[in-house]
Amino acid sequence: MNFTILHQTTYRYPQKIHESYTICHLQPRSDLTQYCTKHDLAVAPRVRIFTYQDRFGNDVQHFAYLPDHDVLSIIARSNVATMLPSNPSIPEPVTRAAIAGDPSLPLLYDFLHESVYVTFGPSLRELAADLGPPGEDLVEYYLRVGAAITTAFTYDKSATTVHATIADSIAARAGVCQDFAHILVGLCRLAGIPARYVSGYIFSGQEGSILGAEASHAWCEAYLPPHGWIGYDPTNGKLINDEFVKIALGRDYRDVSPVRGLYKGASAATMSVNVGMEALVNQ
Amino acid sequence: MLSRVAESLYWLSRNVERAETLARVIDVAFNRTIDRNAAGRERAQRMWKRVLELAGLFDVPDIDGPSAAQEAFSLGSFDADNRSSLISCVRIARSNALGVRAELTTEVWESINSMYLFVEAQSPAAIAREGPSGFLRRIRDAGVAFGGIVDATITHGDEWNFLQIGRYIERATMTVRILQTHDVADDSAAEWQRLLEMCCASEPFARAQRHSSEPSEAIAFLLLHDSFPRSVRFCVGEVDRSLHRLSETLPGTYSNECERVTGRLHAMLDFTQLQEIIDEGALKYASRIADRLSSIGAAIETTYFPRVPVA
Amino acid sequence: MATMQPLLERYARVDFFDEFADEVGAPRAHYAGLAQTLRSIDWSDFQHRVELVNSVLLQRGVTFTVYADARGTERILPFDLIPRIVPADEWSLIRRGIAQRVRALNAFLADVYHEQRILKAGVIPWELVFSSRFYNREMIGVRLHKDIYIHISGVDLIRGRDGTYYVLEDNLRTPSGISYVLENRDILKRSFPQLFAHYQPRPVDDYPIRLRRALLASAPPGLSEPTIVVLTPGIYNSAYFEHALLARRMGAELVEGPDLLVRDNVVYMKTTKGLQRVDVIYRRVDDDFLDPLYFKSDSSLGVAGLMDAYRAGNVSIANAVGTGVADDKAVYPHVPAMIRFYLGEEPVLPNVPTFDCNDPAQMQHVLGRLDELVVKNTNQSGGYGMLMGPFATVEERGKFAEAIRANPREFIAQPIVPLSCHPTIIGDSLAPRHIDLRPFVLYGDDIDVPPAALTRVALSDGSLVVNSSQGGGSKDTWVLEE
Repeated sequence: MNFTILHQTTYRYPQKIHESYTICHLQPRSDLTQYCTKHDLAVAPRVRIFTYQDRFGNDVQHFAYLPDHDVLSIIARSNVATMLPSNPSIPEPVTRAAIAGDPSLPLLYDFLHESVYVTFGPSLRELAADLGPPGEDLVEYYLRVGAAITTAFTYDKSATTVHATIADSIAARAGVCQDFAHILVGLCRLAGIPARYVSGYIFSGQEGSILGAEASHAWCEAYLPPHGWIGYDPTNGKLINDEFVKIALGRDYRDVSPVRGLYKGASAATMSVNVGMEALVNQ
Repeated sequence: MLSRVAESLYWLSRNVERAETLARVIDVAFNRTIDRNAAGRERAQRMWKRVLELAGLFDVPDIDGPSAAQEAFSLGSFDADNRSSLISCVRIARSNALGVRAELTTEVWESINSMYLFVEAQSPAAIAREGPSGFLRRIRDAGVAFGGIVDATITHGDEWNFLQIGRYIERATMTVRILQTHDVADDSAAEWQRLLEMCCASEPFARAQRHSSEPSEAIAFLLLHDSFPRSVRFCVGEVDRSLHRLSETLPGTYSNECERVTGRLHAMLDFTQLQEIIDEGALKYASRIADRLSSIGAAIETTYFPRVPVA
Repeated sequence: MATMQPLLERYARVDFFDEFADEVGAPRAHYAGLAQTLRSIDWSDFQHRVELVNSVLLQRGVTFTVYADARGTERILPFDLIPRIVPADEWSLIRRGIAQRVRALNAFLADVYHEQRILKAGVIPWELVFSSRFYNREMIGVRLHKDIYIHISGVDLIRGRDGTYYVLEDNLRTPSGISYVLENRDILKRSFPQLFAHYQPRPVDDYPIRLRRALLASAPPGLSEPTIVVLTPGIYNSAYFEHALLARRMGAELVEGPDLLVRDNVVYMKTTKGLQRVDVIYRRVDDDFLDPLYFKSDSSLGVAGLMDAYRAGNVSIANAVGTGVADDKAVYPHVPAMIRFYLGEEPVLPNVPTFDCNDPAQMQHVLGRLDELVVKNTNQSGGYGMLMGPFATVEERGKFAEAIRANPREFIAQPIVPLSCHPTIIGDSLAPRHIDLRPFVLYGDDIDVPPAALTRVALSDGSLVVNSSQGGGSKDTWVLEE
């Protein structure tokens, strides 16, 4: 499918701030499953934008605005073509031995261990125990626990905040896509399956639908050789297909936050985010 | 040089000058209240109130009785919560000095550090018993010594110029503020004598005015004298000279806002006649000068150590 | 008139390698001149100089701060007037050994942040590197000028019973102590010139110039006059005196985090004449606090966006970010293997024999001998410090055993090394006290080992702990000419 995406982030400060530094992960990736044909980042006030590729292969943009200001507006526009099938089939079984024998395993260390948001606390371990251990086939385990999160947890924006830990979400059996993705990543890692966090967008309308006020989405990818990285969305309970657009991937939310930064000044920002995704007819 | 360093040197110097001046002012005030009769006591109270305002204390309840002077002294000197008290000035000066230790000579550092150690070691109770004069004299001497050591041991480059600017801005400001403590109801020679003593000007003034003792002459001396080192005109002149040394430009021109407002005030003081001040009213005029000095202080900050760095 | 002669005669050797006296108690050849000088010195005169020296140290502020309370107490590092002498041939060995070591460690750093050949070859386990708290992910793939990571290192050496030099520890992040070396020599020359009769120790006071040369060599290419700054955490840091001293002697500006900012991927310092570009940062701030945008976000000691300027090659940072993975105590046992792998040479200076608790067999060995060994924390999370087996209580050993079993990666163990001893003034006599040696290695265009090393001495009888905060002192160290 072909999409055009608008992602608008605006910060407002009651009193002027200065020396603000911002890092953006807003440019969708190009790889075997999708191709970003156009990406544009517009910032007001006018800044010089720098870009580099981080160690995960994400394209990162960063900029700074030093003089006094009280508004920062960031608008990203992207066109992406997705190539996954709309109804992906369930991958063939994968055993522990396949992972253990994979030559890239040592490089996947970070995807097997704790990270800032994905900690192996008692509540995650309890949840893993409740869901039952993996059998021979790790694909089966992955899809099973992914679906279990979908049914057992309630999607509730008020349940947790951006900085909540997965322990909070597990205790409440509620959260948002960010929490569910962290939990699935955590369960995989505990089971010895390398797993990473993906930020992106999910298309919720039909072809030619109006741009809406949605938000960015998050899901999990697990390394299951010989299939490579398989994406699963625990919020909607499905394998990733052509309706999903990836922006960035990393160990967890901290590595892929769409916009994060620092500034000097006493006032706290109010942030508003606006995401719209439109399917383009036949390109 | 680093903006932070310039800022520390500037405030270090201003605070040492302020401490020295406060010590002198309080000493004079104290002396003048010891031998007062009933009528004089009321006047003394009003004077203390204004003196304490100099030390940053406003809305002080009426100080009365023999211990009044003592209390006023303690408040003005040892109140650590008041940023303008004597002890606060010395602490702030030392803390600034610590931050720029690398830029100061050992002699200058030791001069501030010993002033600080001396003040910290004092017990207000002991001073109350013995009378504050000795303590205040030590502070005055330490302040004066600091100036001398700075001039004699620091190369007269950028660091020295910021120390000069701080010292003379503070001195000009304090001279004007002391003038503003003048009791309009009292035009006696004694009152003018007090003002002159607080500005350390009584002997130089007597020498300059061998015959007359008109109050208005004192105003002229303190504001307009061209070579008395504590006159406002002299001090603003030194600030102007230091600013131009920093920018390596000629006085009489300006290359930034700070030089402009300083040069303007200096020219005004150069060309004002005493009669103009009398016509406007001494206190009104002094108030105008105080505003100008305040904007010079603000301009120094935005020019040399701006909060938001100029791109 | 009592001279030091009787003190020298009463100097009782103990059963360790003594730097000054040989097995029969006679001064070694390179100490003969000093022994002769000491014999003729009046004891009360000597004592008087000791007092003088201590007051000079206090006055100059050659102090470090101990924070038992919020205000902290400034202490001078006790300075013992009897110099430690290193003859030319021993220094030559030391110089070759630590230069070799730093070359290998530097190659290791360049390797683990790029091709990772030593990991792929299985010489060092992947997990060891990835599990190190100091392996900085932001540095993966970042290309540095000349691939130099450790511009300044301090390698701690000790001598065993037979006089062999061993490397105890590498310090590759923000090694300190050079200020004591410079001040000690200066003070000793001023307060006790007679001691220098018969000797011409190599000068140490050109260290700041050599440091500056190494820092200039590390600057991004193409600059005719690179601007160097020394980044200090500020006046409350225990080593502030050293930061200020080095900045002064190098003619570099001493800055704190808020004095700098990054604009368009270039670092600037805020001066009274506007922003001035910075090309080389000699930083004495830890990695975690260097850039609040990428590391600890509540740090006010660093500069937001510094990593971006660094990645873009517009500023050089000495030492590089992420060097801690190479002085991680768990990596230490593998350094000889690094020397073989990268240089194809045998190590000139041996490691102290070390047990890696990460290896199950070695861990068992360690657990069975906690009363004999020194157990060290590999700096992962701090808190446990060090266990001195023979001097610890049964309870303390028990706690460590538990901790080792729970987190083997966090511990290594070593036999107690019988450090060498040196005559030291204790009260009114001369007694042997344990010492170590910290030479410094500079890496600019090439490796430079200045003859400026710090000798630390444990002042308590029998103590093997030479740390400043735990009752240590220092001595002037004389490296002799050929």
